[in-house]
Amino acid sequence: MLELTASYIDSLAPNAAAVKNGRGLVAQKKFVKLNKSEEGDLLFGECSGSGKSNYVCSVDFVAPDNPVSRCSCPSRQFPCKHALGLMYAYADGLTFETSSVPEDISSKREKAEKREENKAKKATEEADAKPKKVNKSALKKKVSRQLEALDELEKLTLSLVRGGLGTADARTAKNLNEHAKRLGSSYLTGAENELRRLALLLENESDRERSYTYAAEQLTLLHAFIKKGRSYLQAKLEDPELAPDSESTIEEWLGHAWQLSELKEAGRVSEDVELLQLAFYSYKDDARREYIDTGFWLELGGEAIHRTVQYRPFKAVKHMKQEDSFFNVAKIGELYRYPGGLNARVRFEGLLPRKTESADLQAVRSSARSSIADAVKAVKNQLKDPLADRAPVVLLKASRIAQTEDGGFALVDEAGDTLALGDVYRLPQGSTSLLALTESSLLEDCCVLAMFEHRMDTGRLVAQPLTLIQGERITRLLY
Amino acid sequence: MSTTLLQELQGELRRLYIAGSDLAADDFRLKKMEPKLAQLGERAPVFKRMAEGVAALTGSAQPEDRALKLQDLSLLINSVLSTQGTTAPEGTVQNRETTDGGLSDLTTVHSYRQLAEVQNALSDSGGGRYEIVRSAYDQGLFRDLRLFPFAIRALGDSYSEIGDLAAHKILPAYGAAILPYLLDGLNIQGGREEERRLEVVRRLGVGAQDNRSLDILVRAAEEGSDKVRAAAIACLGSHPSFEDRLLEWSLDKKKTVREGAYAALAARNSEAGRDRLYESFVGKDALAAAEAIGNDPSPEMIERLLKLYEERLRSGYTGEEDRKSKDKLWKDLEPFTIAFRRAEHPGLERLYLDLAEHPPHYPSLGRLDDVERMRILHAAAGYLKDLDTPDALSVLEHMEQEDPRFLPYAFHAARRQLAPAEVYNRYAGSGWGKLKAAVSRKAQVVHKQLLETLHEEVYVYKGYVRQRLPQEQIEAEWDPRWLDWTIERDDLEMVAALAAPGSRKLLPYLKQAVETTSGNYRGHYIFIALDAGGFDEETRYELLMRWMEKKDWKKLYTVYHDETQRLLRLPDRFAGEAADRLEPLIRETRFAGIKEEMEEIIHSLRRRASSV
Repeated sequence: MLELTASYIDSLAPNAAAVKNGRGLVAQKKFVKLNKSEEGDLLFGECSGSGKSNYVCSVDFVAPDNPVSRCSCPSRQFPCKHALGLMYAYADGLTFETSSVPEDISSKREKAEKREENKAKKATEEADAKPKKVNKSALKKKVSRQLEALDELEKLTLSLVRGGLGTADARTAKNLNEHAKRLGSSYLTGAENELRRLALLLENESDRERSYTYAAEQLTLLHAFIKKGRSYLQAKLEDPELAPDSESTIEEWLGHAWQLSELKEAGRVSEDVELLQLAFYSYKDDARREYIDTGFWLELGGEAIHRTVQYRPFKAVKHMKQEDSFFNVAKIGELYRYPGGLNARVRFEGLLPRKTESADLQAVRSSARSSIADAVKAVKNQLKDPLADRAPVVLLKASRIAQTEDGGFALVDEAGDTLALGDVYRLPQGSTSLLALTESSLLEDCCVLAMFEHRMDTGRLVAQPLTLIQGERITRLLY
Repeated sequence: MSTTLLQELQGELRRLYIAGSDLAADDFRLKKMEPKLAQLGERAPVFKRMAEGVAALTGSAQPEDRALKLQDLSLLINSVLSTQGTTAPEGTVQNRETTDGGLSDLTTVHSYRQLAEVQNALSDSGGGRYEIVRSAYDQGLFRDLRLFPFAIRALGDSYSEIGDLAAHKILPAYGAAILPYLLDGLNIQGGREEERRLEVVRRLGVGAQDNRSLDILVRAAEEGSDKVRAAAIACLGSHPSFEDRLLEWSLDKKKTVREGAYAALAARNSEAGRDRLYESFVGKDALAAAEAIGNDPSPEMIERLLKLYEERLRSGYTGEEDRKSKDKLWKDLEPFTIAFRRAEHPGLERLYLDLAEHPPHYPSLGRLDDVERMRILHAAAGYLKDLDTPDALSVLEHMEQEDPRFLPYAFHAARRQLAPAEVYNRYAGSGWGKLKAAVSRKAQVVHKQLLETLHEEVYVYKGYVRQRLPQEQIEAEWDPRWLDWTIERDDLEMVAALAAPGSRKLLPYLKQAVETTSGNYRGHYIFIALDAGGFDEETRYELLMRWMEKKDWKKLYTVYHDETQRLLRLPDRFAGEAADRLEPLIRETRFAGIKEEMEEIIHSLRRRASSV
């Protein structure tokens, strides 16, 4: 029989408003009919709407890791509030009459099955077929266009360096933004975003000094990108058969969006993995013009902290699901791993929730790094590469989190080494000061998920605590 | 490795990034560093590369090249520095256990989407935020650790309702443990935000041992802006050691400061404090002192003022009556109405009883204008209505006899003290029949007042809207004869409110109402009454259909949401017939919107009918 928890239903919802509205429908007793199929894998019912006829909606659990919601309402959100309400009603224990599966749904199920079959057939056919032929002249054209754009970008940055950031004004920023657009049309979307980020830093009037520091860093970053990108592209130009580099992040920097099939080809898939989310946050990236939902997940039984990233372009924000904190363990059939450093991005399609148990927390503890020195070494090793992720996340074991004289906090490991805690510039929200509010027993003998960032202006490597794990408790300081 | 040198070099490069690499030629500060780097380079090759980089940057080169050199050097240094970041804390780590913040019962179970909505609402500006914050508070979301900083920040919200909500509800709910966090963030030169912050402090109360908090408060009281001073002084009321200071502040030149001191003295309730308050009450600051006493009425203070009140009310006046003398009298009496507004005291009860029963014993009352006299008498009636004593009830009845404006108070007291049947007998059972109501002018006023009072008692405020009392309460607390009484008076709204199973008149009345009532919105009441009357589904269905049929569909331009909902909720067995009956109706309508809406309803009824 179907098991639905409220938190799982919450996680299916596209946004917070849908959750509220869905619950509201149940509370206001808007459901006229509640039915389930004999097999218990389909919920369906009718819900009265605003004055028009009742909405007929259903949620199909034929594929339990990927429930399908259908509704006669005009909403473009899936699941819509009616489908969510139907599930909440079920989770609340309302009576659902058993009934046969309506005809339209069984026909839809058949169609979906057929689609799956076709897809599988196509996939095997494709696997049998010869590898895709590369259109060499088109690729050559594309790569030379990219190289040209890189040269132009270099010219632009160098002229900016010559003139100095001090002379940059609104016109410079506008100029950079225009140039960024051109980069985008020359297949360098990665560079486009970074150039726009530089423009944003120069537009920032409120904290000039700090902006200069980050803008100088950004210029250096662009320089590193130009150098690395140029040599990579030149290699590609000479050998068009070259497969995309699946070990470094350079492809992503250049603006390549990895297809799952490409990752599979490169052998970057793990099967039957269990992930536990330890932290989540979402922020608005003005340079990318997207909202970015980021989750940090521990692979149970392993040591890696993976990152899930969901991009929601400003323009499409209304129609996309906003990710949320996830408190269960996620059982995943196929986990696709992107190239990257300590927290390489992962992706998966569909997951099955499982309740978090104490064995999982045990796994968290055993995968935490017990030495600050080791952890910091790993972090610095990543930061050395200018194109690597600037804010790596590490799970650390602490014998305690102590207060310092000046009211700050520091993590102390078994060996007595200390690590100062502070807030990271890249995160939208501070969390260090919340340590003062937590129960003091949480700060003894615990694990800390921390995000690191090197501050060029102070020469400090800052670590911001995102989540505390102590005993059976997971305390999320961020989200 | 010499990190300081590298950090210094990085700083110089940052300077060049801002000033422009064209100015790097012969930069003497960089040149000065070059030999040091070269020296270190003998041991570590990376420094050698840096020395070369500096030389190339400052040496003779094309300007274009110089920019490239700066980028190259900066890239190298940033990479090296990234591996040199210090991680040790700046202050020494304390060995003692970290102390519990006292807020350890806060949770962290909520998800990003739940929290972010509230956090955004409290960091943004614009409409619709109050509802989000309010519902978050109602749902207990503020028990989440991560919302606590936002709750404090909410004190300074640009929308003052949110600030007030934080000060009155959200923050006090955390308890006294938050005092240090509140006071740490105090800006003593601030305005309204700090005033709210101190209001929370006052509500929660600072402990006598909490010297740190008291020090902050005293500093704010002495050096703060006017508003902050007043608010901080008001927090010090419960501490004996500050009494002298409070007395001193109560004589301050600034009115706001005096007001703060009065508030603290009223809360303090000491001998000296009461003396000072009394002094001000009879002096120029009467209203300010009255306000403070009104917020914190202590029995001793009330007793003292009562004597004066009675004296002033009883005193005769022989002079010539004019505007000036009346104003003077009201100025003497008004502070009492403020000071006693929340007070409870046997002496006050005695005074009010006597005052209401024997107004002639209080000549001052007679001298006042009606508006002002009513303020005093309404205060008295308001005090007596909830007393639940026979004396109070009989005095209220007396007042009601004299002036129908007191009927609501008497009715309310009667409802509290008497059985439902008795209340009915008293107000509707005898004497005040329909006939008399038509005859005497006074009886008409009484009748109108009674209907209004009934309305107030049955539709009570819930939040911001009036709502009908729950059905159980109607059936238990109201005499069933009221229903017939309201039916006789054809007051549909009240019939809807009082409807309950068991009345023989109700159904005929409603049937008639369906036929005669015009105006769509009144249909709402008919159906409420129908629901509450306990009628079977057939009856309800038939009346609903009748209601739909008698509408003038030609002129109809809207169908009410309530009606469509009722149609959609019809039991399956009526669905087919209902569709048949609705169909011919909509042929007449001239508005496409209605037609469409009704067609959809009919369609869904048909579908339901076919599924039976």
